[in-house]
Amino acid sequence: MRTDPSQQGGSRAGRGLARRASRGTIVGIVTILALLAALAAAAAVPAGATGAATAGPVAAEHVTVELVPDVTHVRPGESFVVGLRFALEKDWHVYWANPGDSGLAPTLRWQLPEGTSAGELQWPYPQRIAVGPLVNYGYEGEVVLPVEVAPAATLRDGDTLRLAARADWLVCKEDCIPGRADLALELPVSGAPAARDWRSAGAFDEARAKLPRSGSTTAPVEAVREDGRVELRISDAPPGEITFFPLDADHVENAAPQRLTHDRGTATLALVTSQQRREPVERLRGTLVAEAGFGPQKAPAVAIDVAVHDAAAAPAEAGAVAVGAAAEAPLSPWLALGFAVLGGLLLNVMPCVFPVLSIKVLDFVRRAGDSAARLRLHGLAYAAGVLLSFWVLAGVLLALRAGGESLGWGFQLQSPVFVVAMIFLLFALAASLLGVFDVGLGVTALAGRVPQGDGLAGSFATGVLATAVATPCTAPFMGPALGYALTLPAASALAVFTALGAGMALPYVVLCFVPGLLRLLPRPGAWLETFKQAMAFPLLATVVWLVWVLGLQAGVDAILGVLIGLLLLALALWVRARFGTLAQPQAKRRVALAASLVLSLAGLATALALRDAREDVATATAVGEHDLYGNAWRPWSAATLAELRAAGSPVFVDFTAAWCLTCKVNEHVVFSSPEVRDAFAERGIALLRADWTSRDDEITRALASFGRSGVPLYVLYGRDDAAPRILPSVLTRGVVLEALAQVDRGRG
Amino acid sequence: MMQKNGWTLAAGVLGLLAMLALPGRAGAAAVVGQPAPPFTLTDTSGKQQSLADFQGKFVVLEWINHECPFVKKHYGSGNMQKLQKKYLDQGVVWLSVSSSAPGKQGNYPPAKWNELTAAAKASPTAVLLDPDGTVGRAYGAKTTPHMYVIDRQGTLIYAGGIDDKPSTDPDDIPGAKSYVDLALTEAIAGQPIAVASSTPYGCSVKY
Repeated sequence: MRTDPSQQGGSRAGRGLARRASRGTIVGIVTILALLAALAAAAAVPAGATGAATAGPVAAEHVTVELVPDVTHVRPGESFVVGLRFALEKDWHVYWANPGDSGLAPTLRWQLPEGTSAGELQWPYPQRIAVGPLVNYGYEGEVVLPVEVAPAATLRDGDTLRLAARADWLVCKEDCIPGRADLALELPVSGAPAARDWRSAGAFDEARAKLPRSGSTTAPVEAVREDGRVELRISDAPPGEITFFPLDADHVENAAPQRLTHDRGTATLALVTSQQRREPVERLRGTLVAEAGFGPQKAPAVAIDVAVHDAAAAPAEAGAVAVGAAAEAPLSPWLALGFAVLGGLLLNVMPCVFPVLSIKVLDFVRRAGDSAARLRLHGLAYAAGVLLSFWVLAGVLLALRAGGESLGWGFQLQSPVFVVAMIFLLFALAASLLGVFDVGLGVTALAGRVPQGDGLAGSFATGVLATAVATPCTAPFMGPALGYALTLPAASALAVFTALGAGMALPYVVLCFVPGLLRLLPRPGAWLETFKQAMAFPLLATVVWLVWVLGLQAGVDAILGVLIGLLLLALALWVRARFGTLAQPQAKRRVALAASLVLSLAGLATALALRDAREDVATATAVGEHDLYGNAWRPWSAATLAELRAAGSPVFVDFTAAWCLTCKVNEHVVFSSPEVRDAFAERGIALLRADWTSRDDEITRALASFGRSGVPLYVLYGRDDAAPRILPSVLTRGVVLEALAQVDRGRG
Repeated sequence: MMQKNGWTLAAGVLGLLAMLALPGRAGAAAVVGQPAPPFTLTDTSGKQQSLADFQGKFVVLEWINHECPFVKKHYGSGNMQKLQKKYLDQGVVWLSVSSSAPGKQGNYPPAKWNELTAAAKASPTAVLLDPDGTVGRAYGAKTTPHMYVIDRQGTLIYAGGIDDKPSTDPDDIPGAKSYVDLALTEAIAGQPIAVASSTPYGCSVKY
């Protein structure tokens, strides 16, 4: 029997809670748990039975299998196409020719009449399907695998050609079920002109569009062996994302990210060599997929079969650092550093940083009377806190990427554990600002009654805290700078991050070193306490926002968990303030402090325990339906984009995430506008939304192909083949309308 | 007091940032020809089993999930049991490892495991439980079954599939080339291993 992880978490949390909850609450929680169990049971209803050997579809477990014709009748001696069709239940998949880390490709064994023969299964390009730390290649939804059949020339008008085959397949969600069916297809024989069977024509067209074109003219590719990698260098490469699907198992590491860089028309795709492999990779066979299409015909997929040669033997131009997408000029190192400083400065006025910033301002007001030397020390302590935090973040990010993770900037907020921790931290800070308790956190203490000559640690801590909460607000200028940083060697990357931190700390350091400026700030007084308390509310607003982000990442159970957790934390803070003060006898104080600690930990544990494992449920905004403003967004995928582009449709792609406030502001300001909505509709622009709220390696790679490592990113593809246009990170209606107007001109 | 709290807070937040290394992927796989990654796991009778304890013996690691059709192929046909018996008699240590995470397919309490082992008439030296997947990731175990052979000195000498016929059909077993059988025979005879690695096939390990 399988059990739902959320249910287990729920019962754990229930146990933790039972100790101090009222009977009513327990009854409530038991009811919720019972409901959850009922839902899980309802979801586990088994499906279909295995089929028998007749013509027509065979319903098997989680999949319906059928032989379908692409023609209405057979002409003697003239080859035609039939297909093995799988129609899968939601979330179940069958496999590609190379199934990847696990699984099994479907097979067909034909029983054909004398003189008739069938070719091999042809494989439309698959999708990457992540299962835990593994990656499979397969198909979800519906797929037709075409096969060419050469009928006997001796067939006569009025005959019936019976094609029979035994199909074997493995269908998996996370669990796998092998299936087998005897399939048959009967087609009339006639000398009449060939005609397509309209019932399956759409499915065949889709399959054909995804079949790799062969021939080296479509994409001249060179494969170069580097240390632990094979680099595919594609000349005359299309812009945007390119993915490689290896045909041979154990050549490249399936789960490793494929790092893509564009440089003056050449795209380089770095593939990690399989760790199990002992001999060097001699040949690479597989399918290359580009969202923008290869060659003049815009083929979405091409077959490659190339010999791999050593880096030494390769042309010498390999050293160039490739940055930015086709549409964006590469950044010079100094410009990147400049952008980083500017981005850091801008972080200070971002909504997530503002509350912490306000505390820092209070601190300055307090300190107006300090000695100049002391002030300078505080400025430096704050800067040290900011810089150290940036280094820790950059270090972790670089180390993870070196280890093959596909991560980008803002990755912290893709971790629900981190989000929960931030919620607790900000909630406690808000309580402290409101005066529920004053002892604890150094930051608040600073604003209050710190004796002169103390509190350097507090300044340092403010720097750390400000950086931690600032990271999601990828300031407009930081996107290119960070994307650039991540393509550099570690030392240079750290320089860019240092510049970013320096930019963020700069205003305070300047204030500390030019005391004259401080005198311009208002004098401390009773208003200060009011202001301090008022600042708790932006913090609480941030908590609300983070709870929403968590809900999108981990489901509604996680919200319940974190809210119960906050309840316990509030109780802990109250116990501490009420019974843990110096006015109480020491023994009582100790008990109160211990109880408070236990309660906070229990709160945190509850929040984390109820965290659902489904990290893939996230959607930043309604996708697939009309959004609040009437725009019809569809979920982005490389395949969807390639299809739309192949059909000549202009496309607008919104790379976004629930935790990205800049994105949310843009969406609210621009997409709510009726003019923008009408402009999208009039010009027939397809809207795709790539939601990066939770980890998504495909989107990370797409961002990387534009030289970015974070959201927001807005890309507009015209009707023609021209390189896509990248819109600024801060959108205005004017900018978007102007860009959309260009699309129209492109058609004329 | 304030000073101390400030540092504690700073350290806490920095720790939090550093903690992001948590979401782990399959780590560096064990490499044939290199020392096999050491481990200690609890078996289904509650005993701690360390790879180091078996120094001087050949050790087979078999990733297992009884509900996986590929595992059923080799147990239902008696193929796996036959292989176990053949080499246990020659002093080889056979460890079946389950890396199924709690709540996932193939994760059972120890008592249930012992029932399953008995029902399959299997005779592994021990069934090891690796519910957090640490050992599975250390070895780069991808499928059930995924087979590893370690020599008397603790060097990994084979990693990959059980045989060369990726399918769930037991009828394929007689015609298949059993890589594990061949590797063990060669190793015990002191010969070089002809096929020291292959592509594993099966269900994904339920990390």
